[in-house]
Amino acid sequence: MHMHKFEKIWLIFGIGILLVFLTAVGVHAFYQGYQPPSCLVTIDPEKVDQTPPFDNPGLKHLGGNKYELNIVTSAFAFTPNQIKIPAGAEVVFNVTSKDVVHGFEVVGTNVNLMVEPGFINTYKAKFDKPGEYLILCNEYCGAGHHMMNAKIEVVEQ
Amino acid sequence: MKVKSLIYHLFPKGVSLMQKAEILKQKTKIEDQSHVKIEDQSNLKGTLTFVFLLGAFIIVTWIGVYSLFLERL
Repeated sequence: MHMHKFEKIWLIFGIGILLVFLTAVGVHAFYQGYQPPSCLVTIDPEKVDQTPPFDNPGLKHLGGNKYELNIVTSAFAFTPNQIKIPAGAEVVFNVTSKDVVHGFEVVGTNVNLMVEPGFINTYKAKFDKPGEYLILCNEYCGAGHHMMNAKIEVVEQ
Repeated sequence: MKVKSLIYHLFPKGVSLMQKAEILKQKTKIEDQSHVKIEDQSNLKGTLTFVFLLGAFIIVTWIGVYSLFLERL
């Protein structure tokens, strides 16, 4: 088959990029062990309030600078919606929904979860900079979606 | 007037309908051939340039998003 020299060049370039990107995803997933925040951990969405750790949502100190933050989302609120975290804390977020799909985005950080009812999202983040962080729902969840927000305050110890 | 003179130019007086048809056929054939010839000598320099510009754009945006992710870790 006759192929123009330039066509060969851009095919090699395109396939090369594809291989680089697929390798990056593969190394991330299989070597470094990254997985989606919601990965097969389930919960009965009708019994969220009775199921630990969501029966007592909020920040829990695990020791050292390690914390666990359990948050329940529902139309149209995050529970709790005012959270204080000491600066330098390593926080594991556990988030679930009682009703519909909600978003959980801590603005300006990598914490950005799609919270589906029936599943528990888990994500680890470190808060070094003191200040206020806004939490927003970024999945349209109903008439009050735009009012759904919460606040994290990172305070100096 | 212009159209009329063009018709006279293409089909001088005394040319039969069959001959007119033949002339038109020949003309179309020549055009077709010349068109194919132009395609055959295709110059892909511009295409190559834009393929690489698009590639560069994709790589730059990917690196940008990835460094934003790393910065926020």
